[in-house]
Amino acid sequence: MSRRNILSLSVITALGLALLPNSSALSQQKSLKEQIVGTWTFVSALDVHPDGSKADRWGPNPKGIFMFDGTGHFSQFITRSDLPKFAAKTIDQGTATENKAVLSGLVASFGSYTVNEVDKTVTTHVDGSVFPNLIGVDQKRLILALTADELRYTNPATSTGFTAETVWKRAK
Amino acid sequence: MNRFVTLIAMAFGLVFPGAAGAQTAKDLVGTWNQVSNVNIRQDGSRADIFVPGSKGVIIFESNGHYANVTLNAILPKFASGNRNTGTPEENKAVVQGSLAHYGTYTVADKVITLKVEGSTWPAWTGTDQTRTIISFTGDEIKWSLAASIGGTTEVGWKRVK
Repeated sequence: MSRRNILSLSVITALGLALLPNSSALSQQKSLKEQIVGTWTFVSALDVHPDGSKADRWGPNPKGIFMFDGTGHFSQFITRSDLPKFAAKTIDQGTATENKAVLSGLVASFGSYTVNEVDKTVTTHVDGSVFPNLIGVDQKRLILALTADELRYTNPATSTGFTAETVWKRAK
Repeated sequence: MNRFVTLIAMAFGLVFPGAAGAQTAKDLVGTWNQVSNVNIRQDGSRADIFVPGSKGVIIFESNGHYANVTLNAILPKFASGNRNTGTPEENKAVVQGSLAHYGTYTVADKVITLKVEGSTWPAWTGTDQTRTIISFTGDEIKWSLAASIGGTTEVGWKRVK
């Protein structure tokens, strides 16, 4: 086979591979664990009340991050975007109102996580949190959708006592 | 002679990248546990912030995102069980005893620049915060920063395996 033929074959093979719908096929073969690893940015979380009504407790333009590393550790931060800056210059001089605004306006935690491929759940085990009641708690979330760009789940027990439906998009 | 010089250069190149400190964001990628936290006040006195019960984690992602949560004590659980209804004492204990923030990061000239998108210390939100790398060995890193309680803080981290 001449060098030119080999080259042509390579080009044809490359084209053939590129034309295959392999990206979507691959993502379907990937486990949930493989798909969830990475960084996700917060889109929305709606509390679902016992009567079925939904409420947004995060206010306008909420933001946050959910990181799942490849070795089973997570870090999560969700915050309102309207937290007041403290009048004082240091963090230990916040007023009661300022401190309350911070803690009722955000949640930040870290720990480990596991994925159950059969139940389609991701369970975080909280090692540290700015809401101390979460420390040591396992939070199981039911994955409703997990694609290359979007993660949606329900959290049956949030830090404010409700069920929440939460949406994240993959960070670029 | 030329070969000799090349060999010497190669030897230095092979030996020193690790010891020379974190040069790029890539060196930081991973999950780190906090192992020390010392506040150096304006008068030069040192206070160990990392008391028993303290813990902290920072994750640096390969795509430039980071998240950090540090608890500087065993914090009280809220009696109400609800984050919205902490007592003034409970809220104060947590705000003063913890620090969490997230955003994106870059590294240049042994300085980590954190672009803070959200923080429990609202003064940092929307600002750039810098960490000056004091030492880096691949699995351990120590940096200094302007502390949220005033003065300078030196924080040590160990890579989680």
